[in-house]
Amino acid sequence: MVSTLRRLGVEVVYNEAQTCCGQPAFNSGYRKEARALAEHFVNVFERERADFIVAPSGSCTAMVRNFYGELFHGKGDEQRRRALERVRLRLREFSEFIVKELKVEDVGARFAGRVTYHDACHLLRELNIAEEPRRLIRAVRDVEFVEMEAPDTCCGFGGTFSVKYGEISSAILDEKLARLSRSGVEYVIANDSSCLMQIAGGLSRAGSAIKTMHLAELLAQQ
Amino acid sequence: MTKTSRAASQTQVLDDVRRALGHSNTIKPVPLEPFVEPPSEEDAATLVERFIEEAVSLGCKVYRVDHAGAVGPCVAGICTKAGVDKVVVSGAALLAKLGLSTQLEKHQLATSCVAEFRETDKEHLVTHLAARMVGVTAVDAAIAETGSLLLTSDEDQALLVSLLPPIHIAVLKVSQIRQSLTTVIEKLNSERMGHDGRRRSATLISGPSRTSDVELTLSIGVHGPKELHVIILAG
Amino acid sequence: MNPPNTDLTERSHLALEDAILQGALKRATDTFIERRRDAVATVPDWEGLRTRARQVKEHTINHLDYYLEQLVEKVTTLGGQVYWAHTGDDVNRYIIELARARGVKSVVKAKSMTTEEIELNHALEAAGVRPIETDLGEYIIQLAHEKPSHIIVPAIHKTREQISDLFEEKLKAGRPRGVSEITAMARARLRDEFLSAGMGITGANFAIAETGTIVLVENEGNIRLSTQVPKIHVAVVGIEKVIPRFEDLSVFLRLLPRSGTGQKLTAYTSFLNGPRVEDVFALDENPHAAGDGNGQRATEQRGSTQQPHEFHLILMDNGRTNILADKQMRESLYCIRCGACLNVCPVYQKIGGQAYGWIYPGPIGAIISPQLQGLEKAAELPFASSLCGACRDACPVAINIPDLLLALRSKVREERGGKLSESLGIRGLSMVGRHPLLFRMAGKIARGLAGLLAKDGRIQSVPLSPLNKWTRYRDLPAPSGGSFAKWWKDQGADD
Repeated sequence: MVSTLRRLGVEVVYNEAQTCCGQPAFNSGYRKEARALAEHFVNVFERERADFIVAPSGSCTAMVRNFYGELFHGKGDEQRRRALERVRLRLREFSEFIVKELKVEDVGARFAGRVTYHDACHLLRELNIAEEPRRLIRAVRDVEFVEMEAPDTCCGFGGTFSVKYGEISSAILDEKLARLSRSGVEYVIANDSSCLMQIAGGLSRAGSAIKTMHLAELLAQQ
Repeated sequence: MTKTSRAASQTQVLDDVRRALGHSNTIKPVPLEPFVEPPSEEDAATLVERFIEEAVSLGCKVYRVDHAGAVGPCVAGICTKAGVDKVVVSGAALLAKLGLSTQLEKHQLATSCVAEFRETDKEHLVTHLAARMVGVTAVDAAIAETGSLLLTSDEDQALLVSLLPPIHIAVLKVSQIRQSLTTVIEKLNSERMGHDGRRRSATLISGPSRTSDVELTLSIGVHGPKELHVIILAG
Repeated sequence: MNPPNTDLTERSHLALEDAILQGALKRATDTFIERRRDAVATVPDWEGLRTRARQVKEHTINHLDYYLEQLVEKVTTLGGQVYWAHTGDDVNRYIIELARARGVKSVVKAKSMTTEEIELNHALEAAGVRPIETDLGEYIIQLAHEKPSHIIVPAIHKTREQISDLFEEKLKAGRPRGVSEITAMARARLRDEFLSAGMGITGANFAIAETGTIVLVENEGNIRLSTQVPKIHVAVVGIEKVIPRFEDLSVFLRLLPRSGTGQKLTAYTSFLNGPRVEDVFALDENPHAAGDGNGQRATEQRGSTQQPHEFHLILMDNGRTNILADKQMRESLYCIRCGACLNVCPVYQKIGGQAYGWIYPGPIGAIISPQLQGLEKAAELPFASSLCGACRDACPVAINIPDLLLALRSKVREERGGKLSESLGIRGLSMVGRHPLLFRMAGKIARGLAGLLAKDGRIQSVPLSPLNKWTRYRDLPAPSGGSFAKWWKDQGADD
């Protein structure tokens, strides 16, 4: 992601104090713990003087944009809410940043391969981002982009759900794998590491030749 | 259950509702603004075509006749094809005006009319209707958007006649077809008080009875009619 | 049939192993999704309708006391009798007493989730009154003594062969061959029941406060028969089913059938406005009559025989006021029971309705079962979701199901805690996550350990760890290279 952004003329800084946005805690119902992590996140990024905060993850972006508000809804939280706003206003998901802020679709990447795109649920439904990743992929030189059946259906990850209800998660994944194999592609691209881990895990266990690739990885190819 | 215990139950549930809402007394709310929908086009010619298209897609058989005298023969034709010789006719004014019973008798169809059961118990009517193969009714309105028929209950017994026999024939005039469900809901709302001052019950019929409960396979004619025939009278 | 004392994991396992169920679920959900999509496309402003529907529900639920009182007044004016039931047992008791008072031996029932919620059939049978389910799918599962697997098509988990066997065994009228013969056999048998039953019991899809009208949608005709043939009609209606005005139906009737079955309208939509007028007068002499029945003589009108002699509306709470009391969870009550959320849910698509363990399956079940049944019985359900959000998109009243699931998860953790390994893990994450150095160190350790387990770039097993639940079904990628932070540091300020 960094190399692509730099190639597009963006000055990138990385704040080493960052840790975790807290989504695993929040999604498992541990709001106190999630809030502690959220406070840290806001503290770290609020002090950033950068124009934008770019995240290569739809679910992290959604967590901050759509759910942090719920964690800071108490009476004594006004200051925190203001700090959160300052962070939220500058936060962008990676593909959203390139297409909507930099107004670029061709990032100068080249990759010869037959690829398809999987819509990560939070990216699609919490952030309404569906077109931007596709435009970026299509603009990659030599790439052959194919839509698979029902790209917008869940891969079955769902955080701790994948472990708590592993058998169901795996059955859902099997549907996704079947659609992937019917699509005849060599690579499946997604913009979320969790989805990629789930899908890659299944492809690997099934001995499939299809490979996964994060969108940022694809766009960095030259 | 005593009157007192029923009243106590009412108080308890209502209290629970109020408490949940944080009211100590019921407050009359400001009603919502009405929902404004774009008015629908009502072009008579296309209305009929649209209605027929929708009704046929629901599995209805539709017939167009251009004069009153053709209704009887049309009904008779349907009965002959079904191998039926007994018909029951609802007490609808339109059917009386058409002299339908007389027309049907001329085609050797034994025709009974619900008016004959006016003085008797409902059970007799129900038994009679359940034994008939064909029931003929008029309608109160039809909807082009969905291919539906609106029937309201009154002395004409339209609802039972359209329900118990396995074949239902509905006679309607072109002028009764409206474009949208919204229009018919409005009509039902404003005409809900029957002419005798009572509220009426109504049914919107959209095709014959059906189910997909077994393996999602469509099966027509479960409890209601297996066949729905619609005769559209021009003019 | 659910074995007793099982948990969701066990029940899901059984469902996932059931090849027939898997095939049925796939066919049903694929079909309903496609039909819904086609039906939604016929509405120019679907989003506008959804927004309006949610607005109406929100308004009604926030003023539920007012609208319920208005509904009751109108129904009573129409000559109906109203009973407010605090619990399901109250409902059952009322109906049994009514049946006894009128000498009712058999009752025809339309499909009603509400009556299944309170186990009405069980209570009726215990009281010597025979309940007959008349919706074909419900009739099938009643004969089979099973619970429904889907809100709209309750017997979808059964093949036609299984149903033929069932009919042959229970109805003793020969073996029906194929779907049409199954239907014909049910039609004939149930027609006799409709004609002889002393009472018809239904739920209601909508109850209009302004007019006292009860609205019911169906395809088979069993609701029409149940409400127009027997002398008594009883409607058991959850208090959340009321909507303010008759005109609101033009919004809800366009949303409900399309969302549920992909139809513009179901074959029959019934608008019921109370019992026959002349018989209301007769009820004054009846011991079970409403306390404030019409004192005046009805004018001598020869009226319709369409309507039953008596209409009883039972408004039921049974835990709904608890949901109402929680401002965030209140929107659970907007549900119009269309079943759209089931069809699009990746979890429901795999495990079907019976695995949810109670009456309401799918995403809406995962929200209302814990609230109506209590957390002790249904605490697992909110966690059995990947939070994908497809349900929220499909919901005609735009209920924010994922948010409600998250709220319930938080509630469960507060009231019941969590598994030790998980809560320790999360607390560990939270602690380490506030100290960047610790965080990076933990990451390094994890990668180191993972590296030990990896072979050929992948990890196939992580013994003695909850992660084994992952590796049972999938590989874990072996860590490659170091962390991002390390990479960043290494390249220094060279660029």
